[in-house]
Amino acid sequence: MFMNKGRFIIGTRSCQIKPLQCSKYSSSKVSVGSKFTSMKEIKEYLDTPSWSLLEYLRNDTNTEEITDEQKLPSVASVKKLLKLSGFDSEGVDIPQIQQRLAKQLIFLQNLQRAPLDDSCDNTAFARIQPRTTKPINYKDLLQKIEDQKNNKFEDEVSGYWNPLANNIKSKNGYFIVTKKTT
Amino acid sequence: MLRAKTQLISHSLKGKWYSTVAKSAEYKLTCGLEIHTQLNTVNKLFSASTNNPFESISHPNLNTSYFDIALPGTQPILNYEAVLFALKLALSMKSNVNLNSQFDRKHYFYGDQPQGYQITQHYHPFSTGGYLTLSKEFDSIKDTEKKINIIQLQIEQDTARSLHVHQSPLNKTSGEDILIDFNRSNVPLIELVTEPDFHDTLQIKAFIKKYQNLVRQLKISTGDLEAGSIRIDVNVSVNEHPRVELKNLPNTSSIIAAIDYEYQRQMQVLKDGRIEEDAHVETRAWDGTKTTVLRSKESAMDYRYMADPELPLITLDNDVLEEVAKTLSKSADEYIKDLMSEPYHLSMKDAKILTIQNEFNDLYNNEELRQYYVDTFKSYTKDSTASSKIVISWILHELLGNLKKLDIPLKLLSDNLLPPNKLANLLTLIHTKVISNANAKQLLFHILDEFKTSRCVKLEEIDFMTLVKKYDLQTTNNIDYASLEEGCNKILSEIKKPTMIEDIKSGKKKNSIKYLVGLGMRKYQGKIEAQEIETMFKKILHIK
Repeated sequence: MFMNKGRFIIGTRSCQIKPLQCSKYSSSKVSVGSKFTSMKEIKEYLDTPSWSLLEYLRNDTNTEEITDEQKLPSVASVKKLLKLSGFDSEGVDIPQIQQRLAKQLIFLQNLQRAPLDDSCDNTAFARIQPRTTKPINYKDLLQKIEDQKNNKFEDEVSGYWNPLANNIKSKNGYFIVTKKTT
Repeated sequence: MLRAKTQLISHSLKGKWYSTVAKSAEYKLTCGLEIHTQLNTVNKLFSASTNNPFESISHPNLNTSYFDIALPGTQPILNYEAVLFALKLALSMKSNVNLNSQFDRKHYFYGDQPQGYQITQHYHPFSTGGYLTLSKEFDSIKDTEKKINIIQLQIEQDTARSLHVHQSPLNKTSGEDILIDFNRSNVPLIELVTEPDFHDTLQIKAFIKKYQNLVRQLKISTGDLEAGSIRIDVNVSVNEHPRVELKNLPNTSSIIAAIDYEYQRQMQVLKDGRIEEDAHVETRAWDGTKTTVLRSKESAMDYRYMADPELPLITLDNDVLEEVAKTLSKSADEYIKDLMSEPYHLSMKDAKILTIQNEFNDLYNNEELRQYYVDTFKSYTKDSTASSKIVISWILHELLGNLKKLDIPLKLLSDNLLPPNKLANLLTLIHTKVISNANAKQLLFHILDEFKTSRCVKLEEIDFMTLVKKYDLQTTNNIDYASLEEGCNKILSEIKKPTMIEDIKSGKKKNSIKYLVGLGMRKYQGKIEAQEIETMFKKILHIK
């Protein structure tokens, strides 16, 4: 996520947003401006940061350490996230991870408070700059089809790899998803 | 209970399904269809892994790329063959193709979709509008003509196949294990949504059949309901009753039975004045005897649709529409009309056999069969003014019967052994009485059997006249009627059931004379025409 004078970008794209007046939130001035017109403009914009990430990692009280237990993810949540991410939960600094996650949550909450008008008129153009895709003609279409048929990556060749190899549970070649029925 | 009480549901009669539920004029049935059609492209929709969902039975998870099982870091690459197939379908149904359609993400969490979203087309679907016209003449509906309007067509990816296994020993908790096979994941689908234009089940049945034939004719899908290549959900509403979406309908009989059940259920709700408590749109599943609530219909917001940032728009040049339109053939109805007119004059039944592909098989498709018939017809009638009915009769009954029996593909036969002009030669020999019908049948089976034994490789060109001579199959030109009479009398004297002769003579069992003719044909090894033998038996038995 990037913020700068008059523009607000998420990832590599944004909604088609109407220009807004600057509005205050947190300690920054954030506003949403018009679309970029060229890749050059985007690069220049990204090369001139005018804000600090730390600004958005601060909580309401502006203290570095989050002491409010309510704002910290629980130890159980941290362990579950570690497991879901494929990390070992033994011997790790759980309190530190709790702090980091809490800050990331604050960051996300700050983002969500941004004054965005996401009433996109046309989602096909929901990009940070207007885009025009070169139309495909019939000859191109047939050529693309022909090229694609015989152009496989290794993993796309049937039987090249065993998708179940890293699974703890599988049965007769199937993955297993367990649905808890509590 | 409701089923028993109202004596509803459909019955199978000679393999055909029909509704026994009388629709009340006071309670109007309104239905719309959502049809998911698996496209038989070579590769999957957003990866180049092999598109063969039916392989899953023996080899689950064989045709799976990193993208198909959503490994982190993988990205979709659109398979343009699916775009071509969607164009064919859209143009065939006069649907307006969107030259700038887009893919969107539909978010939900379930084991059959590890990405956490399905890539579909929500905001800017592939095409909108269009229609399919049903008629009394060709589709056996009640109205003379009925136009079923299409709301939209959209391209989307199929989900993985889930198999539910209860209380697996693998699972030590009280949970339910779901087995997942990703062979089906990311297979291209077209979702077609119709307007709620259906008002009786005959129209629905006819539409499904017509649509199946269309996708088969376009060669974009196998079109099988039972195998899941086509999956149909039905929206049903009686009068002001809120719409109910019916799911889990694996075949046409289930669809008709579920609609009938739902019609009765909603009618009862309206009669009992329970509309207030029942007044919400819901999804119900058909369990074979009744519909049960699956869930209340999710609102559009629940899916958090968003444009897929990893896929470009499908931007098409206008020439694509023109060029694809040129590749489309006539509609099935037009083909049937042609075959019923000059010069073919086929019956509707025969014309439909040559046009409508009821099942997808490896031996022939309706297009190959129709072309084979037309070419044989032209060759046969080129030098003959004789009745051409023999052509359709031999192709549909003798040739197809033998091909199925011996498992020989029509195209192989036509290319390597029996092109249309050769079959026309055989038919001419039958017509000119060089060979009897019975012997021609035996000869045809013999050469097909040899062809099969030789693994259907190209053999030397067939000359039927040479074969007729080789196997001594010519009919006897100068029949010795005295000798024939003597032979027929001998056959009669050897009949052990004299009552049978009496029954033939008295007209009680008229058709039993065919049995006698069969004995005569065997005696004379098919060299005397069946008609001559029948005439002789009639003369002897004094039958007019």
